Amino acid sequence: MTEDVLLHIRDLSVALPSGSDRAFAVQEVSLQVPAGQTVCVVGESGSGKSVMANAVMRLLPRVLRVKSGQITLAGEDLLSLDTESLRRLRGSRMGMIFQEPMTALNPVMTVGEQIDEVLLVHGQRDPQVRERRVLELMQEMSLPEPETLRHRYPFQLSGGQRQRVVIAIAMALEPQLLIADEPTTALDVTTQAQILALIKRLQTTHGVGVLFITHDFGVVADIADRVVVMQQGRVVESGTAAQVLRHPEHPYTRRLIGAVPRLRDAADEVTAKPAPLLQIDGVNKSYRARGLGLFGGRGRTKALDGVSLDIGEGETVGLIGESGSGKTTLGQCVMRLLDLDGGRIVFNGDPIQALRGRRLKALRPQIQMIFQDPFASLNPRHRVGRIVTENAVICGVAPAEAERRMQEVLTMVGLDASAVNRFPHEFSGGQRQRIGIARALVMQPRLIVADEAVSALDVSVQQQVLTLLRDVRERLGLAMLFITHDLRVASQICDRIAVMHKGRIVETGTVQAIARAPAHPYTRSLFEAMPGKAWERDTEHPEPALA
Amino acid sequence: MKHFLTRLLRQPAGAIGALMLLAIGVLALGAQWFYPGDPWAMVTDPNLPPLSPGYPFGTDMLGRDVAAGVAHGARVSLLIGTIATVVAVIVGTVLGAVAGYSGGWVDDFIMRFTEIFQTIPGFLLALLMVAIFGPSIYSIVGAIGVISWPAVARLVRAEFLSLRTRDFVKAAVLGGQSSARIVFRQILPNTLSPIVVAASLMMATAILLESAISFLGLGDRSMITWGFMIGAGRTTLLQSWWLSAVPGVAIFVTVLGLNLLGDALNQALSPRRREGASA
Repeated sequence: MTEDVLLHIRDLSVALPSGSDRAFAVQEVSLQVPAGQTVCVVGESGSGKSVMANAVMRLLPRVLRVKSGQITLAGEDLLSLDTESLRRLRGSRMGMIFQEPMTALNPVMTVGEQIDEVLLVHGQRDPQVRERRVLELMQEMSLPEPETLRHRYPFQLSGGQRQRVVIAIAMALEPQLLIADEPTTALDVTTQAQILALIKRLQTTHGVGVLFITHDFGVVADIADRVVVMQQGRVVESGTAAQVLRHPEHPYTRRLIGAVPRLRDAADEVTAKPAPLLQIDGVNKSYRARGLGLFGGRGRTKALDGVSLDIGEGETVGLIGESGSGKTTLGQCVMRLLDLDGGRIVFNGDPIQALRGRRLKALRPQIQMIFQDPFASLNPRHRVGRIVTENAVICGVAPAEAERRMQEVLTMVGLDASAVNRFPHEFSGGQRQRIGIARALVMQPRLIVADEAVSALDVSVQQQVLTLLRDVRERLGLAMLFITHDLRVASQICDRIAVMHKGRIVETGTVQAIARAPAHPYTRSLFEAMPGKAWERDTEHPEPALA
Repeated sequence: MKHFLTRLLRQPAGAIGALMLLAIGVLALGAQWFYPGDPWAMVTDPNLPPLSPGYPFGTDMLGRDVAAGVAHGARVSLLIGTIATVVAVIVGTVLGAVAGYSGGWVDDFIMRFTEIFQTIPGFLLALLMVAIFGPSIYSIVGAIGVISWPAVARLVRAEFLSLRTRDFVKAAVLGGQSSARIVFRQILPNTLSPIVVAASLMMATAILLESAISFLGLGDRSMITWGFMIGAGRTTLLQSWWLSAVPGVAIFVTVLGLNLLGDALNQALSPRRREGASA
């Protein structure tokens, strides 16, 4: 190799505490980050990629010990450094960007002070020099109006701005190496695109080497020079980005890349428009922003602003939007977990907002929900059998009948009958999501609201759950409101999509129609920002994935 | 349940705490059998030092057996500690659960009410109540309960506030479950571990409170208690140190046992441990 190697990891093994499911979090991992290049480490949750990044920074929790191996930064052995030289090295020669910028910043210090602090602790005594540098850094990170923004607190900034501040802190002392651990996972797609562009720009202008941890192949395709694929703590494949992404060799890499959702049109044949099952008509909803203290001011934020949308019998409509666009609020209004301020929602001829008491109870089974977080959506104290059947029994299904339905549904979602007597924590994320789906299906609903139902899952599991959803939808003729921030995922399952922005639906149509000619500027920016577009075009599958 | 007990007792703190409480419990239950008759009765020479034949803890200035007093006092201490804790836990849990689950003005109202009790110094309030209602076992239990429940209410409310936003609660609403059912069948079981831990520590505090009240002479005069014994022995501390020291050690052992058990419970009930044990 001709380029000078900046970071060199040789045969690194990190032991897990005894009693874990495997002996090593990271096992015999070797990789190199050349100066001025981006190396992406890709893997699913639990593959050890974050542990490896933290080992480089020597930020491992006490229970994890480096068993063997060597990490050198420009020839200097990081693992044998004493605390003081390590402290000097961190920040000045390697910087780190974290996943969640809100928790990476100190909430009680202004962002300017936090950038300033790094300069101060690394020996810059002159306050004027520091101030100049802070402004210069904020300018470079394209933060608007650095002069006023630096006096703000983290909670007053948007997520993207916060992440720029974190990057400014990491870059303050011009490090040679930047470690980024899922830096865009917590951000919206359009913000993600901007942050990726920023990191790319810093890399070329400053010549830093970047070790970039991610699970998203789209991001990899956009940013990586070299790719390292990890599975179960081991490196299974590594090479240049072009090589790994276009001609993956290891079966695991192939499986991962195969599972990455692609933009496609799920609406096969456009049949006659089905009879509407759910009509959302001019719905308004605003939240009262609760002021501090007894006499605090009370403003209102508009979450839904005149939203109208129809869902036909057996139709799946995708609701796309970024965080704060009001998509979850709309879902909860449809579920009647929230009351409306104006407009009406009609389900099967009945305006659901007017239903009370017994008639509301009769409505409940017909609209069911699948939740995002498979860990929070199941009561940890109840066995699966109770979780799945309890609601049905309460809604008047005879226990024996509920039992029979449960057996049927568990088979349908691919769970073993022995699952009934186990607790949720004994299952993996994907299996728990199946339990959540089973709980919804036992009620024999006609409409399912799926709120980011696959967002918390690894790609391969995501694909399985999507297939399952498609399958049960077809078999049972369900209508579905599929809420997601991911256009590609939506395109896999939705007949139509509706794009939401700031509480309004700005565009509806089939995926194909919208992808070909997005009418609204916001929709256009959403398609623009999708990571990995070039890669997708180049590796277009001849047949639509998973028809 | 069986797993839980082994997890609890495998920890040194849990085993030692349980052993201490078991000893005190046996002493309390067997008091009538070990030392039949009235513990107030004068049985022999006054001021016998400890380890005198037949009187391992000695006698007081009126010739009453200190060991008998400690055994009978254990009954009162454990009884008051348990009942006061049960009262405080029930009141606190119900109010905290309602406040946390309902939110809005109900929450505001209950929490302001709770704060009234929290802003008044607890021990003074307890003394005042015992003084007003007259010293009896009922007024002491009531007073300790009244000053203990706000802590439970706050704890339970905080747990409910975070649990009620969980998706499984939404799923229960969508399943047509009533609010009462959601509160008691879905959420409450998830708050049991912090409540149990808090209760074990609260019982230790209750026993100390009762002793302090008796020490100040406001205890139930028809019952012998550890606090009363310490208070009575105080005047002759230099001559007959064992009169205060022996019941003092009894309180120490009970409170330490409860604290150790509370810590061990906390460990044994935490979900991380559960997962580790079942994996």
